[in-house]
Amino acid sequence: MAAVAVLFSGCKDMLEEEVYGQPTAEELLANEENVAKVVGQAYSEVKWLHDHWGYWGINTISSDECVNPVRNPGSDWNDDGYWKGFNDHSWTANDMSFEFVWQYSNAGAVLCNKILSQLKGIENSMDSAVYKRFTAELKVLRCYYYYTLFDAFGRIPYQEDYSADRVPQSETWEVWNKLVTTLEAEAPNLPVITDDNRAENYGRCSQGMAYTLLARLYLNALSFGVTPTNCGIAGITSDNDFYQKALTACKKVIDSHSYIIEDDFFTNFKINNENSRENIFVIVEDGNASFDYRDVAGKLSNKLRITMLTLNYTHQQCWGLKEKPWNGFCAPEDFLDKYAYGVDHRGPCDSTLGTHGCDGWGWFLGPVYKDEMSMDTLVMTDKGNLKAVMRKHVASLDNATHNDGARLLKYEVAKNGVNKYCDNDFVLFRYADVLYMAYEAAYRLGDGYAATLLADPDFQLIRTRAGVPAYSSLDLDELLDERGREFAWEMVRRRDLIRFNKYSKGSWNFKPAAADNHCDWFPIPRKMIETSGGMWTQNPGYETDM
Amino acid sequence: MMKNKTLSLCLTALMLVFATALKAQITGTVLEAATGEPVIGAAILQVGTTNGTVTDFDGNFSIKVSEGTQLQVSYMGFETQTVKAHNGMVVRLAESSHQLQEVVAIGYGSQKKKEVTGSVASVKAEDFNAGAKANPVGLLQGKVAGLNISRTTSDPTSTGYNIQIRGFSTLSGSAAKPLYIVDGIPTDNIDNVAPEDIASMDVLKDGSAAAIYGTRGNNGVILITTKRGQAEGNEGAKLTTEYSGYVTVSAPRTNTGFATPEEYRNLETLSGGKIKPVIFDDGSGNTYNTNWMSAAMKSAAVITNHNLAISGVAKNFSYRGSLNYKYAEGLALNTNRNEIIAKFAADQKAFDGWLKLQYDFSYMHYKNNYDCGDFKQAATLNPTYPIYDANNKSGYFEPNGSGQSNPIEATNLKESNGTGNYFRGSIKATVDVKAAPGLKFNVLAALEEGDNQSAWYNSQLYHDKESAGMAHRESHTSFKQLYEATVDYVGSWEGHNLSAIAGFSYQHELYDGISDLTNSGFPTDNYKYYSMGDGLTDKSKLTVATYRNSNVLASGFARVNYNYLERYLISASIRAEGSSRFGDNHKWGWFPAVSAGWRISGESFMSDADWCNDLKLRAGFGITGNNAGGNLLSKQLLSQGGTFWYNGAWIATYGVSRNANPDLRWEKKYEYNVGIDYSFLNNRLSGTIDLYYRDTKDLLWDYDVPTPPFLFGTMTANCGEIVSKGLEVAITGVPVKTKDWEWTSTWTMAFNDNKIKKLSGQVTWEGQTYDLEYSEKLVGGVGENGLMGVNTQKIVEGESIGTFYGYHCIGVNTAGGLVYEKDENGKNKLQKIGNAQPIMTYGWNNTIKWKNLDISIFFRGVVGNDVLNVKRWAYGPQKSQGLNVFMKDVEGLANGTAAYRQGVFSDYYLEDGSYLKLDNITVGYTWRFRENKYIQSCRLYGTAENVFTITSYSGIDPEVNTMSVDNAGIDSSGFYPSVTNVMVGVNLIF
Repeated sequence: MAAVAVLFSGCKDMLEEEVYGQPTAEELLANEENVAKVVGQAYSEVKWLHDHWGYWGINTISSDECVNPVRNPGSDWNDDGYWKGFNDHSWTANDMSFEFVWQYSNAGAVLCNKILSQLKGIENSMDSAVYKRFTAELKVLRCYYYYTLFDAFGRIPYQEDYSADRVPQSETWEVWNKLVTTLEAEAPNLPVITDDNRAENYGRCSQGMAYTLLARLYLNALSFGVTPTNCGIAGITSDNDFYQKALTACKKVIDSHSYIIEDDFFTNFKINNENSRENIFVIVEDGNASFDYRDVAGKLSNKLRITMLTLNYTHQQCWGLKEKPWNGFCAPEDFLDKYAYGVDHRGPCDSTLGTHGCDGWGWFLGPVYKDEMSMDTLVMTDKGNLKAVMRKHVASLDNATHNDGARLLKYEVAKNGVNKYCDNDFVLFRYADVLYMAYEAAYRLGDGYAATLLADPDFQLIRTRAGVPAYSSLDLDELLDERGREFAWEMVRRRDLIRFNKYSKGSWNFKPAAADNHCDWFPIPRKMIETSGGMWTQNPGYETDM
Repeated sequence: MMKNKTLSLCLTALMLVFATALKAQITGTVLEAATGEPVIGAAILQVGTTNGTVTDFDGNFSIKVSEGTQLQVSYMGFETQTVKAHNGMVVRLAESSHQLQEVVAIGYGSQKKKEVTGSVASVKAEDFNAGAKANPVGLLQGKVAGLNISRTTSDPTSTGYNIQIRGFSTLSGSAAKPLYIVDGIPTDNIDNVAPEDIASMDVLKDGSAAAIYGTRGNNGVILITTKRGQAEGNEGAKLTTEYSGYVTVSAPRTNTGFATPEEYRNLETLSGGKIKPVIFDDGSGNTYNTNWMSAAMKSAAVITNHNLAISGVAKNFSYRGSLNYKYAEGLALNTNRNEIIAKFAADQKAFDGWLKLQYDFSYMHYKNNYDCGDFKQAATLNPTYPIYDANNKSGYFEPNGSGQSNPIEATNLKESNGTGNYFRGSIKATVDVKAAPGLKFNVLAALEEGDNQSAWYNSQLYHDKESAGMAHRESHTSFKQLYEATVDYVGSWEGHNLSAIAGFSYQHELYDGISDLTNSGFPTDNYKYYSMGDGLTDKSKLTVATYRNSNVLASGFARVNYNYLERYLISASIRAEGSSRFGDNHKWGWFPAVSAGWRISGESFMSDADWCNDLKLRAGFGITGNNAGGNLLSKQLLSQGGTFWYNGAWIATYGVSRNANPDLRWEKKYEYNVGIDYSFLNNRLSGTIDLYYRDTKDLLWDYDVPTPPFLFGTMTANCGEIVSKGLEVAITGVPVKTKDWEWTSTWTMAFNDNKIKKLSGQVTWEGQTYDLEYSEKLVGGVGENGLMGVNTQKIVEGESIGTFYGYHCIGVNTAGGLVYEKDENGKNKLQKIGNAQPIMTYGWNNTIKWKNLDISIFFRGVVGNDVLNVKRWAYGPQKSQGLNVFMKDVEGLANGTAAYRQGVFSDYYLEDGSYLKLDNITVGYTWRFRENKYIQSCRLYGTAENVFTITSYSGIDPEVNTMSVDNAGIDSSGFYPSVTNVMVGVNLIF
């Protein structure tokens, strides 16, 4: 009884919840060495976007560079027409991919804001240069998160504070203005990459990364519904001013001499592609570690599975892969025909050689042999004994064979590897893109810099390293195709097509030209409209129901 | 005055002398009032003395007393009578309603059933369900109106039941099960109580009854009282030894609804050319017919159980010890469960009865060998695939399709097992203050320690290179302490009866363990999971995770039960409880309750109503609570998140892992209950009717919140409100009762309906209030076989949980597609198309006794619910059929009445889930032996369980889980074969 009485005398303390091992932000940040451990968390949400259920998926499969047909026999990848909706632009606001993109990119942005507010609390105790660097980094990273959301949905709730205030949707030009303003202001506070600091800043926001993103925003301004009148940026009075600004941003990157065009296209996609000096911003992948699991993300992976998605089942046996690939995503005929067959190494390999001759080519076609020496073509015994011979023809979205479509090879495959997931770092921004954006901006402006670029050895190397001749002249239509070849499956194609008004209005294998442009924006996920309590509204042209 | 007293004393003394002098042999007979049959063994006692005897086989007795002496005649189960002795007397004993004399546990005490004012159902051991039960909950299935119990697997390594009292009144799924109290100790694991050791189970259904367990009473309380040593007064009796044992054979019920290999090969013909099956041949022209289900299981599984109990009594000490051993094979290959339970209970008196000590100890050890195969694979894999393939390193055929694997390979190349120990011990000390009769002080201390270890290993030959040669271990420990101090008082004066209790309780739970220890790359398969450090030398595949957490519940409580003449009854209780899990300003909650009863049958105006043995009206109100389901939900803490490439190396990063809610508080249920308890016609017709209304506010739930401003898409908060109402009826009739025959029939039924009133409200986040305007959440996700997370249900304001939303199918088109009802815009109309909640659940038990033979037949069922047949949907026919197919729609496809597998949800896949199950039949025979040195009685019985089911449902078993908030009525699991059990058992008492 006495013991109980004593216990009850300290009721308040008694009910204090005990914490074992989990720090609060204040405890962790009390030691400046730990700041990076908190800031680093801001990058964690980036890792979700390369998934086929994420931002990469909705961008890639909805443009002309990729299809994911139902494969028979066996109705593989049927998924009740889910993927077909992206191929033929019949998606709906209920598709889970949109919800994932929304959740993760928004969470990334909110997380940046949260960490910014936490850092604010210890600003006085921190080295001011370090503080400036981290805050600039977080703001620019937030811009990247918002860029992915903005690129997908347009009218997004944009927020720079960490608070519980309801965040209304902003118009596209308002979001654009915020992103451009932030990037212009913060880019100078980020490090310029040199050979000395490249490793140290790998995978993080840098000045080059910020200006590349800025160039994208300027170059695509009109396609985002931004006009000189609504953009709210001083000094922009005509469409050309957007291109001028884009060119200026590109030149910041070019003139920094931080990056080069690698002699070998494939250096950028190797398993050890951290050595590339062309890559400006990547998701650093760790193929060894296990899945970082988040309970709401049943389907999404923060591990790169790009080779798994595309290769044929039989590639496992041929190349000793740790996991049997899923024989899904592939490139259709129309897209492959943009490559000079047998010449352009970014394109498909010799379809008669298959695995015996595919090294150094961007896409796989042809037979999958039993091993490097064998002439026995592997057979898919449970698929009606189909011989594994990949072909570029895709019979249809509903009824393709297991061999249809070319398979992406540019990311080096870990043959006889030890990891289930890719260890190649996933490329987000690359110097070649900066040069091509600079060319496009200059070309649209009629600026002489376009001619300078055509004569630039780095610019020419983009072509020559692939085995195709450098351009003596280059118009916009050709540039669009060239960008498609160079950046296949690198999440730029959809926006490129929209910029040229060839996304909704264009047609390619299985994708008819649409009557209107509503598909240029994806729908706001149904669940978000619901949870916003009516504050957020759907994009035009979409219906929202269960 | 003084004079009178003296006189009366003298007279008394005189009479005593006189009486003693005139003592004579009196003979008489005791008969049953109802039947006129003799009562054998009735006790005859001269009042105020130890002079007594018992009736013989013909009900006759003789006793040496003087004429006119008061004799007390009693027999168990009959109303005791006190009569004047005279020669040739005939005493007719009326059967007592044992229900009325029954004592029921009500939490922190007990009450006579006739005085109970809350809604409490009591089930005694003799009324338990027969059969091999996975845990004691199975003993109650169908026995209590409003207590809904289902079991959706026959896998013995899974001991759980789905259980729910009075339908949905909360949204928190895992917390929605009732609170179990075993001999006064709250616990969430009752696997360690052997059914043979249980004396009774009492179910506190309504808020006024459960409020004494305030915080955790929301979902009702089940009080389990275990058997103890023999009662006082039998000192000197020899110890009783009791053995019970049984053997059960479980046979699978064969039809799974999927095609046999022969049907699969004939699919094209059977479907009129609409389905092309993918027929496997190995390239050398060999074909295969594999019945994967048969290959993955035994033809029958055997369960054996032995229970030995010894009880005895000595002066001031009684005890009971028991040992239970169970071995249960699963139908899946290589699966079984071994369990052993030891229990000891003792009661001691000391200091002339001033101090009573009650000891309870139990220990359990179990080992499970889990099913490494997968009946889902077995049911759905292409039946033309072979099992073996010598070309593969594994030696097994390895199917290619996404999510497909060879279940026989897994059975043989993987192993997985779990062992656990569970100890519970308690000591209760009661000081009976003899100087103040009725006053007692009690102190209880209880400890529970539970641990379990599980391990698995995949052979190096296993086809999946990532997990081949991988070993895993985990180990979990829980340590719980309970301390209680109470004072109680029982007193009566002039028709007033009072019992009161007040006390404190403190409970601390600590959980600690290794949640992950995984490694691979061991030199040989023999390492298994024994030397976890001996994997790859660079430790690159070694992962480790450990945890610890704890929580506290503290409370003070009081209850008063009062009645006048057992006619006017009232009970009031209050509990104040604090939980460590809630926000700083919301830790404490108050849970009051009051209930009242009127025993009409006790009124004088009813004294002539012979037909009425008992009639009581009662009404109650109580507030109960629901504790948060997890720890640390109100705290903003950092946990290790992803890794970050920093200065050329990976570093761990730290971030918040949830939207913390500092305002988290109690969920509260307000429940109103009115009821009638009745017993008529010589207690041949009796029962209970209850009507209730429940209103739960501040529903604890993971609400969807918008990102931004929130960091994560859900937040645990208190916003919603749900109401439910229902009716429960229990009727017991005894249509036949003669000397040799007795037929008792009990019918229970329950109706329940719920409605979500509100899902929106205010939450606090980052120091600001945020209005959560939110009216629905999509649930009922089905992700089976590539169905892309299709939501089939909504939790929506104004509707009940388990409401199916989708298209209404109005026909099949010529292409084998479905035609749906359209809305005014010509679009397919989304609408309510069904509900997973049964309108009524019922149980019907019949016991027929003829002399020493007894037969019991128990039916139970549900009416009026919809079940989503996910197997039929997800594995429905496709043009190119690579997996096995659910046959129901195949032939319909041929004649245009059925459709191909559809990607969208409609009521085409909803089926009526009503069923009537013959749950069990038991036939037993009991031999009672005349007094001898060796044996008292022997009972032999046979039981058949799950004998048949009458239903129109086309899946394996319509008994699906209807108690899950998110997935009620969705038959998505349950590929484990359904079984019929046949049992033979014996009970011996020595």
